[in-house]
Amino acid sequence: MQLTIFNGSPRGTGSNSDLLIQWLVEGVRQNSNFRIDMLYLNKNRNHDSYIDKFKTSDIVLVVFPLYTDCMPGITMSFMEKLQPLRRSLTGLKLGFVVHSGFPEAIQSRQVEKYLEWLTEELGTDYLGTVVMGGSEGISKRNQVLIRKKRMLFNELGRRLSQADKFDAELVKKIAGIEKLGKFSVCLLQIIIKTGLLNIIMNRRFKEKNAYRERFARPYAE
Amino acid sequence: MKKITIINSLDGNDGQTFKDNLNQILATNIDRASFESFDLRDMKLNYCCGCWDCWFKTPGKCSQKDEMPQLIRSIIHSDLTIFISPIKMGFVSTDLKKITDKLIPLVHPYIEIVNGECHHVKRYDKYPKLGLILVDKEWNRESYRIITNIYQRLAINLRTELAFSILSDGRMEGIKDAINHF
Repeated sequence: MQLTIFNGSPRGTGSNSDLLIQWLVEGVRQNSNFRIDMLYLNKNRNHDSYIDKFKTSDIVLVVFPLYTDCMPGITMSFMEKLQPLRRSLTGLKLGFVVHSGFPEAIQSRQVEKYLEWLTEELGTDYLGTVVMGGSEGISKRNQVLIRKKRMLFNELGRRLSQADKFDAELVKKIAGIEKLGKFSVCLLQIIIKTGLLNIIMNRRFKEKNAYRERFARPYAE
Repeated sequence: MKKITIINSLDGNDGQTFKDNLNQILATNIDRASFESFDLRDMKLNYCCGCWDCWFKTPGKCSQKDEMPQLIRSIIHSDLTIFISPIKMGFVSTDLKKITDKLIPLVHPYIEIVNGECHHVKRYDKYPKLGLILVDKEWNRESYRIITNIYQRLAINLRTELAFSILSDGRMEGIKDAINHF
């Protein structure tokens, strides 16, 4: 069985998508003898050579960060190239992982609808879409703090060989907060007012010597 | 006088015909609005590489050397920005998605709550309304709905609104009204 995982992050190696793929693969290797290929979509020049790999795989996963409410442009470039394969990929299982810096899963639900459409258009079997919020900087976080997410992705990978669909319970757990409740909104508003939420971002501005210019409006005039 | 920026990612002969017909509509509005048009086919534009320099290193500006600055300047000074795209593989063209990604420096990395959701803080005082024209001979209404919903969310994140979204099979029905009544 051939499993091919496409990393749709423009950052390529070392990206947050890379980490999620690593967690998935850890799980896959515990429970199956899949041949696994991991391919990066961040270089346009490689896309043509990936098409064959896409159509000859048994399972394809596409993992990408949410960019302006959808897939990154470079990932769309690859999806556009799948046009000749419309309605031809019967038997191929196709699934997606979409992660975003926003904490709520709802931010990724519209692109999920597109991915469902794409799967049907290609004629593939839809494994599902895993949505995960709060992913920005996850690869730099303390591994103890993200252990639970890692285990969930491991489990998703472990069950991949038997599944016709991603396990709904696992998908729900990975998604976490679907939409902020009233209490969370109030709490978050207080945290925002204290400036606590900006500490990490302000540190990044300072690392780049741009803290003073952070409110710049370069195109205002 | 209102300012309207038009960002066109149509290609081929059909794209040229559409552009010519659109220019006729624009000509009838020349006394009440000024138009600036960009043809993405003719522009050197790079993909967003996810470095976030546009937020943290050169705030508000992408650090890549391409023609995005002239687009983004026109957009932020417009009252309405219209995106025109063919529907390709159920979505907008890669060319349009490429520049959509690069609109992110128009807002801050900082987060605030908008209508109960997390969204980016405004960088500028005023943002243009957005318009979307999707051209598809197959008249794919499902893709039209999916794309429209995604661009509605984009408009929220860019702290504005999607003023209209039109599905066209190449004819100008609805487009004339949308522009005339803006």
